[in-house]
Amino acid sequence: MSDIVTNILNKSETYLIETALDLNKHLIKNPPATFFVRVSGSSMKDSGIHSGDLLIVDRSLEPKSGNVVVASLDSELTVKRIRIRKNEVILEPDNEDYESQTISGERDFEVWGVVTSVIHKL
Amino acid sequence: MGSGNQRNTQALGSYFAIIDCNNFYVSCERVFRPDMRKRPVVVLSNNDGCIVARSNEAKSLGIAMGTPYFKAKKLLRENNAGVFSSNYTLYADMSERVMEIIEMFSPECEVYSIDEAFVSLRRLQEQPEVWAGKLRKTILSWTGIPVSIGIAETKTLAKIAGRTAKKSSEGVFILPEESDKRKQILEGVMIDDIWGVGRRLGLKLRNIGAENARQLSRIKPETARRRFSVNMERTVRELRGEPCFSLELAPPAKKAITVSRTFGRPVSSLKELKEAVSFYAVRACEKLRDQQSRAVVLTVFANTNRFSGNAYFGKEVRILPSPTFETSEIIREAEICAEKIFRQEKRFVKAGVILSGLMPLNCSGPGLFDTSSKRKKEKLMETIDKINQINDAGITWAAAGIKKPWKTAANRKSPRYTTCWKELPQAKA
Repeated sequence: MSDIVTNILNKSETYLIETALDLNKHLIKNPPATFFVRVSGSSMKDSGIHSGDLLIVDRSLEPKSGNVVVASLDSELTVKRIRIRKNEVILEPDNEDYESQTISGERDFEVWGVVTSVIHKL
Repeated sequence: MGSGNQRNTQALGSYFAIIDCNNFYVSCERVFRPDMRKRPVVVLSNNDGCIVARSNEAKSLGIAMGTPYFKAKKLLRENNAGVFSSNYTLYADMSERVMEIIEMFSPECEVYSIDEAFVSLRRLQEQPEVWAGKLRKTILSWTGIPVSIGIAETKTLAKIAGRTAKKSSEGVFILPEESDKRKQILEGVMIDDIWGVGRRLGLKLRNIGAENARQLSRIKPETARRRFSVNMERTVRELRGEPCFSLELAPPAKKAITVSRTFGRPVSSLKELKEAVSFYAVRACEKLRDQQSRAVVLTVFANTNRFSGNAYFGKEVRILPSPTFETSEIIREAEICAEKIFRQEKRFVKAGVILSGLMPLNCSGPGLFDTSSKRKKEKLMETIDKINQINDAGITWAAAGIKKPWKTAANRKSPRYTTCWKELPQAKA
């Protein structure tokens, strides 16, 4: 096959495989590790996370300082911004009416997953 | 990689791994309920009858597998245990996630059950223990489900290695080559606990002096075949490290779809039996469409308590005029079956619907009597399925009853966290 023909075939292939935009593919990088979580409460409102919003949570991502995470804290799931320091972990709200919490060793704490998107209905 | 390593990898070439989710149903519940992580937790069978899954804490309370719930109720309450009705929608979704990860990590994989998969390590590019450790860590982090991994030369031995893995803190165990340790492990496996043996065969094997896996492995394969079966010979050979059971790489597409349940209370009116059967038909059709198939054979059955004096088992088979996945058509046929099965004065405790003769959508083609109206109906079915996915009460068939008094008890069912918009887990902000 000549180079030109191959080139044309390759091109037509690219056109063929283009389909409608898929939000799932756009928002979910790792399907087996991705969960949807519903928000209740207003402690994260300054980050644009409101009560009733839908969070897309990827459990395969390593939480980095400054990420918004879902964490299990004292037997419930909570959504907060995480600050990871040398010797401590802080969970920060994004709403001045709420206070940061420094996680001490005695509390049951685990990062459940990293929030990658928030879906907010207008 | 050094040459020593390479040799090692080659030696492990024919090895199998079994990946087994620990206390799977309980683990699924715990992912979404951090408050259940340290409490004893059990999951009940259909109709909240028996205990079918136990957390380690529940096991140490002495609760045996299959214990009727009412017998353990007091003990569970005293220990502040979590009790859940089985939530198969959730377990199936979590299982799919786990299996998807296993497939990413494994060149050849056989999904063996909802919570187990075999993997052939034949084409593995790295050290098995490294591979297993990574896989286990990934499944735990991505899904929250803890697994244990057993590795050995045959599937039967891998299962045995898996038992040791479950008890170890690393969760991974490779059965050592011929050694005292290996002998000791095989001796510790009771005959009925060997893969493929079970209680009935176990009894017979005990009679000829094989009480554990080591003793069974020492029976001559020929004797095993002569006195039992070819399969028993294979089990013996597998215990000796000779692979006989290969990986079933492509499990055959589901040959039948069954939806059956034990009723919450006995049903003795035709109206209720028809409702129940229609309801199961609706579910079965959803499953059918979900796997992109049509069915041509419909079987409906209903039975009374089989331990009662004059037990009755009714069954009706209908061949459908053309392959279909259309609920209204299948309900109509199912109701006719129910009428034929029904007997006055019988108290039915269980009924079910089986769809078989399945064919994929793309090969069944339009039947002789297909009309464009049939196409439209099929389109309608898809739409209804979509609505019901979003809204549980959704659209229902009047034939399936509104109140469903016969419906199975499932009083402690957890939300469908991963498959239903209205039941997503909540996080406090």
